[in-house]
Amino acid sequence: MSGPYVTPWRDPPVAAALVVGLPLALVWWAVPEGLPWWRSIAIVSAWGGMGLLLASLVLMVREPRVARFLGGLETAYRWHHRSGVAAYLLLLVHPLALAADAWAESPARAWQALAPWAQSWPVWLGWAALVLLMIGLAATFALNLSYRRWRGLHLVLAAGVPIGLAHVVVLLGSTGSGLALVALALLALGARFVVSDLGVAARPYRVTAVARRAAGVIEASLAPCAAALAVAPGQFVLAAFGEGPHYRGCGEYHPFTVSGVDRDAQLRVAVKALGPCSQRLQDLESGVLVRLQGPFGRFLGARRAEPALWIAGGIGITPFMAALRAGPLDADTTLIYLHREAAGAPFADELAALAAGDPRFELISCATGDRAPDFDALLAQADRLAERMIHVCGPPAMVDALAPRLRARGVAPGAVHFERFDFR
Amino acid sequence: MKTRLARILLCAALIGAAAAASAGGPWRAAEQNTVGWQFMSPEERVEHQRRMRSFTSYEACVAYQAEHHARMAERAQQAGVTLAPKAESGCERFRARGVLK
Repeated sequence: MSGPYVTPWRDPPVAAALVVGLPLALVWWAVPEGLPWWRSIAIVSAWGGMGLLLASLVLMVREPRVARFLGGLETAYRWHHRSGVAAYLLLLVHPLALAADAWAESPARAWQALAPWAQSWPVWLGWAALVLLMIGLAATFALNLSYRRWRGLHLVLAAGVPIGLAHVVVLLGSTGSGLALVALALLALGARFVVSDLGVAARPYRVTAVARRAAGVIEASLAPCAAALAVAPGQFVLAAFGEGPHYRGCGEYHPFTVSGVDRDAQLRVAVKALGPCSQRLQDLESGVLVRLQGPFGRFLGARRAEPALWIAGGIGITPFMAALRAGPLDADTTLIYLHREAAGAPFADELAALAAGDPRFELISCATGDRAPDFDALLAQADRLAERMIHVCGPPAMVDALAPRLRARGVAPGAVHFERFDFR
Repeated sequence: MKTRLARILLCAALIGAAAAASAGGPWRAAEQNTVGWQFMSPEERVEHQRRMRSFTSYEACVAYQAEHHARMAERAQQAGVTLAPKAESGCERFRARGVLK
């Protein structure tokens, strides 16, 4: 399978421009004149925080074209998180700076400026929004939180946004500016909840076959019930598995990398048991309805006819399986496949057969056990490293360990491609 | 490459348009434009600013302002202070901006 000739390039920073530009635009509009310093800080932090919050909302819209415009879903999520955290910190400065401004008059005034019970309902809205943002953000930093709980707490965060905007609109009085902000926020929230979470734009598919590829790993074949998604190897879809004759799915969308794009528009996705939903999916059966959104990502999209090195860790083998199944390779390709145990590595037999049948494909399979792999020894097995296009897919720790080693061997940063599939 | 450039330009245009469309920030109540500022609690200041921004009629704005001045004069009298008139007037500023009819 060969993709079009694409020179490696860095995304134009659309997401970053939004995160920087939107708050700056609002601050530029609202910057005060002739006010005391601390009150000016309070105003600037409020509008800057609101701009960051709005940028964060736009960046969570999970629609394929919007995601592409923003530089990919992963990029959009990363900036969504950054701008959300920055927004919260700036918005926290707002009441503190107002109190600092009042402190110049007296400590009692400063306390009055901070104490919610000394204020009226428009200010209570602001405090309520800040508390909800705090709860929601705490969830994003909790490492061992289940997806369900994380999602619920994230909804609390989302609820804080309209409440915060109500605080702004009420205090602004009858002005079109506040209503424009509300419209933008509601548009972004609506697009996320209606289009993405409720799956209004999702395409219906049906599970036609389920194969067990390893302990805790299944591969499902999905046939379109209507128009099919145009998916390329290396991309992923968001799938919500529903009802079957004897199976009840989770009904929520999770990302799955496509492991096969077949000629009859069927897709294959590999599912590893990592959480409650993917654990339940291990019992998936034929006939189950599934709704798909996407495709997202462009991992493997920048390939060309030149030697390649693919490095896969565990279930990170999935996108490479899709590329190998799509047809014969048009360039020498070495695949380093890292997995815990030699017995029962997903797709091991199929990979061995592919390597035996294609002289351009070299497979280096390595069972690591519970120890960290010897990356230096593995990379030493791939010759002409600096001339190869390198694609890495695996756990974040593996990607982080490989990046400096590849640089040390003279590989240009633009020649290394990876996508972390660890976002929620 | 053209598509990428278009994306950046579109983003910049959207942001620029949003900023340009909103010429001038909201009016703010402050010591220089609010009689009796020093006799108002933080809550009253917030509420006063909100009320002033919410008017659409010049007459209603001036009526509220007169009421506010009387209330503040009373507080100043109790404190033994004489209030000086302010150089700026919120209602006049709003009328100049075309907000009040």
